[in-house]
Amino acid sequence: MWSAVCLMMGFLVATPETPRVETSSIAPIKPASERFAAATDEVPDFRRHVLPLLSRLGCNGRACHGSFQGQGGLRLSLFGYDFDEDLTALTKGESPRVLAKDPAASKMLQKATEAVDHGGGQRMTADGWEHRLLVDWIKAGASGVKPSHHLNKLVIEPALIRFEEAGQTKNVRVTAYWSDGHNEDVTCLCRFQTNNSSFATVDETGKITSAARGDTNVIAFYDNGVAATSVITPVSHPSEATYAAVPAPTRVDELVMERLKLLGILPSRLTRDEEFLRRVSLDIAGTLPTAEEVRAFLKDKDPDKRSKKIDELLSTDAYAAWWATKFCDFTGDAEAEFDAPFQKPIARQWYEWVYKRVKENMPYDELVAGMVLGTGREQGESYASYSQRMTDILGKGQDDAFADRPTLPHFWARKSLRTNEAKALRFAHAFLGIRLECAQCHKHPFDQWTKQEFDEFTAFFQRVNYGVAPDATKEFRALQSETGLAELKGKEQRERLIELVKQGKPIPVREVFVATSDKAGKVVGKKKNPTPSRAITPTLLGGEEVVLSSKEDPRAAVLEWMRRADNPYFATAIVNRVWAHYFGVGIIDPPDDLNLANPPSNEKLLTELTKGFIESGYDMKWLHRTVTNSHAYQRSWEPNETNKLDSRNFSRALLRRLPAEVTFDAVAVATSASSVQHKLITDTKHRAVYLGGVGPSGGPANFALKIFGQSDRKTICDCARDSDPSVSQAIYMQNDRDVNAALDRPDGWVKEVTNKLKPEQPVVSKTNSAVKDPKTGFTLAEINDKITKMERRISSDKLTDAEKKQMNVRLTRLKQAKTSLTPATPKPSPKTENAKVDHAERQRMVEEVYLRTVSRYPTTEERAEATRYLKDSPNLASGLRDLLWVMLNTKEFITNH
Amino acid sequence: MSILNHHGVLGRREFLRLGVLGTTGLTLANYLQAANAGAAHGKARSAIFIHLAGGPSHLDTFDPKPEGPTDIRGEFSTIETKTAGLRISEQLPNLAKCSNLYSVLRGVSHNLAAHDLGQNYVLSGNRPTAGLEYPAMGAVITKELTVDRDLPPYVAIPRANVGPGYLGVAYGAFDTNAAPKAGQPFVVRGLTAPGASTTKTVSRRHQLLKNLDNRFGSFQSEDQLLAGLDQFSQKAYDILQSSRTREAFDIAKESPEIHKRFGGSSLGQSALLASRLVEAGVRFVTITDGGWDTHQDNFNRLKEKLLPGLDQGVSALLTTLEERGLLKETVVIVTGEFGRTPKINKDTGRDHWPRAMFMLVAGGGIRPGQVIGSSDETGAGPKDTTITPDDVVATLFTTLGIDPTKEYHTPIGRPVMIVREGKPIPELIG
Repeated sequence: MWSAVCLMMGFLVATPETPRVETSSIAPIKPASERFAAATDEVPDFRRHVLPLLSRLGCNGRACHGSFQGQGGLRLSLFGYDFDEDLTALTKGESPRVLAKDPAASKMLQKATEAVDHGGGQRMTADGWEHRLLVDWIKAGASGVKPSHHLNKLVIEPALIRFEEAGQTKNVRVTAYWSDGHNEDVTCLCRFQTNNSSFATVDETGKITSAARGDTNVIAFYDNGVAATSVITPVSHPSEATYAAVPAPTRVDELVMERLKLLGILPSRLTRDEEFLRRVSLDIAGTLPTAEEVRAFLKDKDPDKRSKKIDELLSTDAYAAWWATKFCDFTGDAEAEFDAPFQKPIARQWYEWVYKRVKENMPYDELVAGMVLGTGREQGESYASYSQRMTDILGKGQDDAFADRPTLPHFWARKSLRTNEAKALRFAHAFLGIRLECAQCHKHPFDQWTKQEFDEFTAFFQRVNYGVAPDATKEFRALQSETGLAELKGKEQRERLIELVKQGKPIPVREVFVATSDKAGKVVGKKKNPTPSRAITPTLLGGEEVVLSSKEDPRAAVLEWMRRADNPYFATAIVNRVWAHYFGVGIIDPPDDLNLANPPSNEKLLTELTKGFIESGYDMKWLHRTVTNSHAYQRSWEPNETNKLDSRNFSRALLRRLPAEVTFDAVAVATSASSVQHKLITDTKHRAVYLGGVGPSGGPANFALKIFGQSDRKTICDCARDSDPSVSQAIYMQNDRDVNAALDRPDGWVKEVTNKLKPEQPVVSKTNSAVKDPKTGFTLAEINDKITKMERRISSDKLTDAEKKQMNVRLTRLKQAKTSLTPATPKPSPKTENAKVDHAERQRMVEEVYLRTVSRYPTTEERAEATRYLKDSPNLASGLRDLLWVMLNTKEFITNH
Repeated sequence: MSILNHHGVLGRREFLRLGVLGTTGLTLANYLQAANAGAAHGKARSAIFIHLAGGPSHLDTFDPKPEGPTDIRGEFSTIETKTAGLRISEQLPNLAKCSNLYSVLRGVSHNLAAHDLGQNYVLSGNRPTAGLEYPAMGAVITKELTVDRDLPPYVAIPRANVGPGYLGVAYGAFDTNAAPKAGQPFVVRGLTAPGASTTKTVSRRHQLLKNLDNRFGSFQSEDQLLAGLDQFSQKAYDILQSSRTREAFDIAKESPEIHKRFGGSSLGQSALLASRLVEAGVRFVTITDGGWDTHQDNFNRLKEKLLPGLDQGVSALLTTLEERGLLKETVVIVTGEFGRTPKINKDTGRDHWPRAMFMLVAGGGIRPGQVIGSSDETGAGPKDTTITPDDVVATLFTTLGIDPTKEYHTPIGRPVMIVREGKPIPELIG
């Protein structure tokens, strides 16, 4: 029974006409463990009772008969849900597991009770209800699934358990609500799992035991249903008055505090202004504030200065650059995904397209729509015009022109997205924050997804192709032969392509297109059938079938579904990811793993934020503002006795290592001369947050980005970005040529300060410019020039290791020659130089170093210590360099706190 | 979020332990025995773990079934070795010649057929569970054994696949970020001598860092990130201050003969580097060698690339360590995260198969020249007794003098044994 509803976008959505059963209207029947405790007339149902029981007993687990090669000759579908296959496996074949004549002698029972040898040991006893249930099912004919019903809902009660202390226990009850009105207590047929056994454990009967003060979730699994209960053992018992004294100025704060009260946790104090400024600048714009900015912010008396700073940061190019990088992380822009020789410009085009939209604050749903509906040619564009246009864009580096195109096809053009399955996986992860990998082969072990549902979702992407569209085949071939590319291969072909593009001659480009010839998608709105069938109807996650005409873009149907206000994933996924960015932990965590067995730590908070975000018109800046203006975001890292161990309820700031790109930029900004700092920050196109946006590639920052864990964008996981520290990172900060160069560069701060102090620095002696080194035959000027060039070459990453070694040998020789030509320059004695600087001035320098690295003034002790160090240094330059080096190597610098 | 509870209720081993051993108290006795064994042994000083990432076929290497049906046996025939009763793949002639230096474990078995889960299991010796990430062996070794302060205790070539888990980032590996290449100097960037500064100024500067880097007060020792940053920073300083680490990484210091012996493969060159590192005093080296996930074209890939590198690299490592008198104090383990399906698939490949795999173990007082355990006729599972990854890791720790039953506390205070399930394999260390 299906009705077809015509939607304005021109495709059909069929919805089941099953009347919605009011889940609470019918009292659930008693659990099977009671009903089958003694002889009964009831015939057990294969789907409702037999398979869930087998699941609970572990029969279809991966280690046992759920293994893809089976076990002991019996193979069941992993975690159940392939009903026909499982029924066949049990009842048919050479060695059926059921014996109708003598049910109790059935092999499946003999094995499970270990009456005969069983590799899996004894799973039940012969006198239990489990045994009777299975015997009764076999007796009644061991029949399979009645296709009429499906599970509407699985409910676990209580939904929240609050213990007083560790060791206490509580039993949960799980009820299954079926589409035919059958409601049943299925507690004894569920599998249970705790999400953190350190806080609570659960046994197979659903008895939960508190293990320690804190909170986690216990999950029940039954059929394709997953239900979670929140288990709390309060950390302490503060008075109402204590909580009343904590202001909650925003809705976010009210909801966070609501949860903290339940947990008996008190939040940390608010950040001081300088702490807030550093945190919010790094988070929103990936930018370290300058000393000048910190001073100005601290002086500002405006009570709204924090909000204003947030708005100011959101309007910077750096915000757009950094968040475009984040979006490209989520969606997987990487050079390795595209064909040579244009992989670099194509990855860059992708980034620029996103950057432009983040900069304009395009509503998130529209931005995503442009990626989802990406096609090569624009509406009505001819192939000839398209290939000419793409050639021009490549040849002239017109990334802006590319960014102006309404859609971004590159998401679909990737090498790793050649199969429909890969398209579905990437899509689900990028835009819905869900991981479908498991359902690719079997029932998802901790979510509702079945293999059939995965296949049905995959069907949406079947017609999305990358290649030569049928209407362009002729032109494509003609271009291939005209350009001579048809006869070329490999390197020669790549070189010709580059040459053609340079000359502006159109090249045969491939494109993303939606095939209209509908090979596999000939679908009609037929009844949803739980048994696998060959013709797969595209079905949205959650169960709606979509009837597509052969000319529609099937992705539009998915997009329409995503944009519905009640879509459980699309808006939630980005809201949760943005939250996770600011807090170091998602409301659902990992942030890209939205599944029923991984419930949010604060459901109300996530729901309300998501609702607000949709109502704002998917306004990203609304989301950033709402999160960062909350006290929850502006709390200190300093823990108190109650929240020391809390890492998921937002009672304090979690310390986070700076992300790779942000670290590289922060080193550059902290070490640069004040005169160039502003340009360095605002000229975003030279910063790592922008350059690194295309993912792993060459370039000067590449090494640093790699060891600091830039996303490789290969793994379909947000965790592809690594935020752990390592010895390699410490070695980099202490001794890498990048950091040394940053400290010593001509437009660096150390040079700036020392140059100012000794403008009249006399040139001690002049070398006769005509004198040549006897060994090399070069003058000093020539040698200096060569050394500079050589050093640049060596650090360019363009040389092979062997070439580098060779060059280093030559470099050493030149340096020796240089020393022999340069007359010994008498160093200014410490006394003379340091005498020019008085104590107050030294203190100001110390202050400056603190402000430009850790964005705060030094404490009295720190100031004294550092000032003394400067005074005792052999010369001012080396003292300042050391102090700057020291501050770069503090934990305070490398973390966001 | 964990992954594991879903993969079957209790594994067979756990079932047995809880059901039988748990009630008789045998567990404790075994643990005590193991603990004593640990005290008695500890001949080893270092270990090298060669991880054949992707999961090498046991049937085409150390556990062939020459009598098996063609769709299982595969394309390779077998050859004799120096070890009585041990026949291995014909593609491993050099390893056949030095089999007196190692023992082979067959029918090592677990049930996690996904790469990451299997790697976590094999490299930690603990089956992954909900809400707790177990530390890689190298992290435990870093915690338990002292190392000269100017050396990294734990080096991963090119990088570690399994992290330090609940021990925290401070016990993570030092990644080289690259594998050495034949004929090219190997420099770990950043390990060059620190600038032009003199030792005196460098140490003065370092003292200043110590004095100023105290913003987080006592929270420094409670927060994992801060503790990790601290430890790494100190370590980096010590490493940079001495030339030992630099020299250990400098494989060019080896003679051309030695280079030739290890061969040009990435595995061979990495093994050469590993031998220098343990000689310098590094405690634990992991080599991750990729490409073993042979779902397609198993035999050609093994024959042309994978097995020659393994054969030459590992045999060179064992003989070189032996010649230098280092083998007796260096444990070497070679294995993957699982074996591969006995049945050859339609793409002439083999798929993931954790129920039977091989491991090669040598050195550090481990008794060589044995075959321990066996798989069934088709190589589908263990024949009699089951050896688990837990047992192998417990053995490794025991040889290093680390008691595998020692309890750690997770950050929230939960007690956990270093290896929860395994017992040292008596034939190897008895």
